Amino acid sequence: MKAKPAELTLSLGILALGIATAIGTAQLPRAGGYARIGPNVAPAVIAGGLILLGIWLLYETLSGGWRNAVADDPAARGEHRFTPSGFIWVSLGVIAQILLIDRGGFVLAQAVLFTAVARGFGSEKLPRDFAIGVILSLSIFLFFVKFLNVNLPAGWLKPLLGGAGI
Amino acid sequence: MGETFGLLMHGFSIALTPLNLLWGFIGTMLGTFIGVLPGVGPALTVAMLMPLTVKLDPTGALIMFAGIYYGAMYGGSTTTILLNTPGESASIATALEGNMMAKNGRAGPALATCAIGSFVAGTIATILVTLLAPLVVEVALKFGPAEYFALMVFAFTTVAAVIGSSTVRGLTSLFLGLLLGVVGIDSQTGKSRFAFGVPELLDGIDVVVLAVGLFAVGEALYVAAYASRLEEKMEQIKGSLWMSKEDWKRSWPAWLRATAIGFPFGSIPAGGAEIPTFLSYAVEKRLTKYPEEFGHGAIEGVAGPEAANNASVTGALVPLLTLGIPTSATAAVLLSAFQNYGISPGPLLFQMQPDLVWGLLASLYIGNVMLLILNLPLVGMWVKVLSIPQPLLYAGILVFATLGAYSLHQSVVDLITLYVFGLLGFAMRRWDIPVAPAVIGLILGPLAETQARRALAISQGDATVFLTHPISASILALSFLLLVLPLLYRLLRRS
Amino acid sequence: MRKWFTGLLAALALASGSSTAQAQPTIKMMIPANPGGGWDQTGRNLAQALISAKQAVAVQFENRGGAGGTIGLAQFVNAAKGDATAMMIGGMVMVGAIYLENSPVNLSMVTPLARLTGEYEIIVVPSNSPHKTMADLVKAFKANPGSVSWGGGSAGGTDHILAGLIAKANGVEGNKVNYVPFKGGGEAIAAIVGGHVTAGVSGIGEFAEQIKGGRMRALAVSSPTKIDGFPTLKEQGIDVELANWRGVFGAPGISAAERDGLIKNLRAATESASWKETLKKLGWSPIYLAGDPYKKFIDEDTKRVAGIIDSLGIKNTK
Repeated sequence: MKAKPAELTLSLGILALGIATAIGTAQLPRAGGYARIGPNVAPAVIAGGLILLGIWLLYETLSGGWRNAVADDPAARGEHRFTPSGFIWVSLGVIAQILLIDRGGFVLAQAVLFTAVARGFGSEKLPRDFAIGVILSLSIFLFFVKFLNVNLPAGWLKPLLGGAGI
Repeated sequence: MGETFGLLMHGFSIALTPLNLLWGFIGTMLGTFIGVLPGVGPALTVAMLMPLTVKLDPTGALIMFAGIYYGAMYGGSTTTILLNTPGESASIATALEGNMMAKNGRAGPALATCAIGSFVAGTIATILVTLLAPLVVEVALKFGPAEYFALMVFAFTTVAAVIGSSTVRGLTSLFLGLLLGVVGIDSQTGKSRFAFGVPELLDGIDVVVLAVGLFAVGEALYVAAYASRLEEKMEQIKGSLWMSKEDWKRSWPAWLRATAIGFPFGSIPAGGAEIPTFLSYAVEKRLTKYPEEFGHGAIEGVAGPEAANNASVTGALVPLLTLGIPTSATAAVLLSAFQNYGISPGPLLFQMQPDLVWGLLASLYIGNVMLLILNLPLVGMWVKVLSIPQPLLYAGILVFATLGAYSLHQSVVDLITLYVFGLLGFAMRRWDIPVAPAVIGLILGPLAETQARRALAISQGDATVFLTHPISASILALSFLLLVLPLLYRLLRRS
Repeated sequence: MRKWFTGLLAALALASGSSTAQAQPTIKMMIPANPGGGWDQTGRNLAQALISAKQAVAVQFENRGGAGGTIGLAQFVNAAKGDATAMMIGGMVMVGAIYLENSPVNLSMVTPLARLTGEYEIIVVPSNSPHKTMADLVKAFKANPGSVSWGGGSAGGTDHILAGLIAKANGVEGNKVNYVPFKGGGEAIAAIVGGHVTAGVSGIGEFAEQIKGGRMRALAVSSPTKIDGFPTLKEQGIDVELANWRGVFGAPGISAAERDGLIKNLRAATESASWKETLKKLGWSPIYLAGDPYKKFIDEDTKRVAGIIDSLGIKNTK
């Protein structure tokens, strides 16, 4: 039986992570002071564990696939086929929010996130979603900034919204 | 005993101040509201609502957290029964019979036996916590780093309970958590590890970012990719909400048995809530007079697991408050909530901040009463939450999830980390790698490492310190037995 | 747009007659720590004092915690350049973190305004310890440094530095100090009371309760004069003085006149009843020092902290 590409990738990934950890660990200082166990000991143990687990996963992959794995056919899991657009829209929403939050401000970033995620879940009413997103994130912003006095970035809307303070 | 009672009464005098009652009420409301959302379990609920408490004093904040914690459990059971989507593995057993009852038009009694059972189990378990915690504190006061390290080793056997269907994948998840745990400044020497020159990583990876990334972002990515266009079948609440005489008669022994099963599992630092829920389900199935109903909606099968879940979750407060050891993902998030307030749970907490501890314990009793009142008559309102269209629901979850991560340090780096954990969570969900071990590993790993190195520094590098201290040696021996006995048992059976 | 808005605020403030000529309309305060800690308390209480002394109409906060305050410092250096209404809270912990982590930004890039408060340190032993005085402890320490374990806050922090200074004053090498770090003085308490470490070092406030309760014995304080009757290190022949100080910094590149204006605002704020109340409530000592002497103090403190961190052997190499 042929190894499944996904399982192979993940197994090799864990193995590679273990090796990378081992390489990184080699560069850590050893000095343990009186404890004799320095900052490098725990990472070394973890690196060893990851390498062993990587090999174990690889063994399962090559000897008939991971044990007790979930079905690869989404229908057998009671789900639909992989929908790339769903995955991409949610990702785009989070990435846009990361790019926007410091410059454009919290309200805008969260509203864009809200709209993109809703789109990813199949909503087609973009203006409505954006409006709900603005109302939701504006309420959160005002609650934090005006009531809790914790600053969230106001960004481009700063002249309108102001910041936390007394 | 009398002393404990006096302290508890003092606790009530704190928890019953109007302001603290209000925080408790807000906590239970919000906890139930967020907990009802499908796919959102208690750990995520607490993580998402953490920023709300910045302005409160520690006592008020922790009372609110206790409300959120319990509320999320109650809310979660509603979703489990009506939608058959357990928000965490501990609710799976409830879903088995609960959803069948709802399908047979008996959603009302199913929800009622959950709510009342949770109340009964929660209250009994809270009484046990109240009685037990001061005793544990007495012992724990003598604990030094060596004893704590032994306890951490013991706590790692907890992971066995959440490891899922494959040992290798469960361990992989645990080691991923352990690896994330060493990122940042090494507490014992001040050296940075795996921070790659990013100053934001020096303080380490926050458990909130990991939990929210794996649970919320990962979940959203997964559902958007595989389950967004499915018609979710929500069962309606038809007929009476009230349980018949027969239902009562069948429920109450189940509640009590489940409490007896759930509490001990929660209170030893090797528990987890999954095992007792399934154990309770198995016990009820064996003892019932109506075995033919099991699999088609037997009320004992709902009453037992749900009560066991609550008893175990409450029991988990014993190691958390008295030793500072979290035994579940939710407890790990709660621990970090404590630490945000500069409070280190442990035996000294009982001496130094009695107002906080006893106020919190008293608020647990009050929270249980509030939740019973909130959940029975208002269940219709919570069900409405479930009718929010899926796109808006997940969009809202992500808005709160990213807020929870961002407000920790007001840092974009946390958001980037959050998305990376989201991708990881997606992959873990798709290829059936459990996520709870990673969260537990992130918290327990550094604790164990730190205690071990402290113990060794004090003994000037003499590793026998773990065996010459009697308490430490006994705990280590016990953990060893726990790990080896099942293996031995299997070997003997095979031969 | 923003200028217009600030201008409007200033005009309103002037029109309301609530401010004197040199008062700041809106001060933007960077707190390089998460809400709740010592710097956050300093910043928020100072804001209260600035307003009650009519030195500012409003104060806006920004909390940006992490890496000993150096993340907030970097943000302040980059974003506040030349802004004469910007302030940042900082202190000794930041001096240590900058050196320990080779931070690309440091305190010479901002404008020192005033040192506000200090918290002195205390050295304790468990109540059943054989060490009755500081001299007993030092004797055991000199005879076998490794046998004396010191429990305190994080590695490279104030408590660790004090242990290093005591070692240095007694001719013991810094890297011979058997220092056992805890998350904070509070977390170290259990280990000290339980007798798991030989001695404890932390801010006086952290141990006050335990000393009063008789579970710890105080051996010395790091202040110039006795506090609560506890003898100083100096009185016991150890020439060490240390305060965990906290102060205020202005933006990089502001003019001397702007700096002096801000110092005047701060001086007035620290003289207000509101500020005095804060000091009393939180047990902070007023060690006010402003302008050039403050700058000189920071330079000296930076050198001293760097020397001790080097001798403790904990500095991160690039």
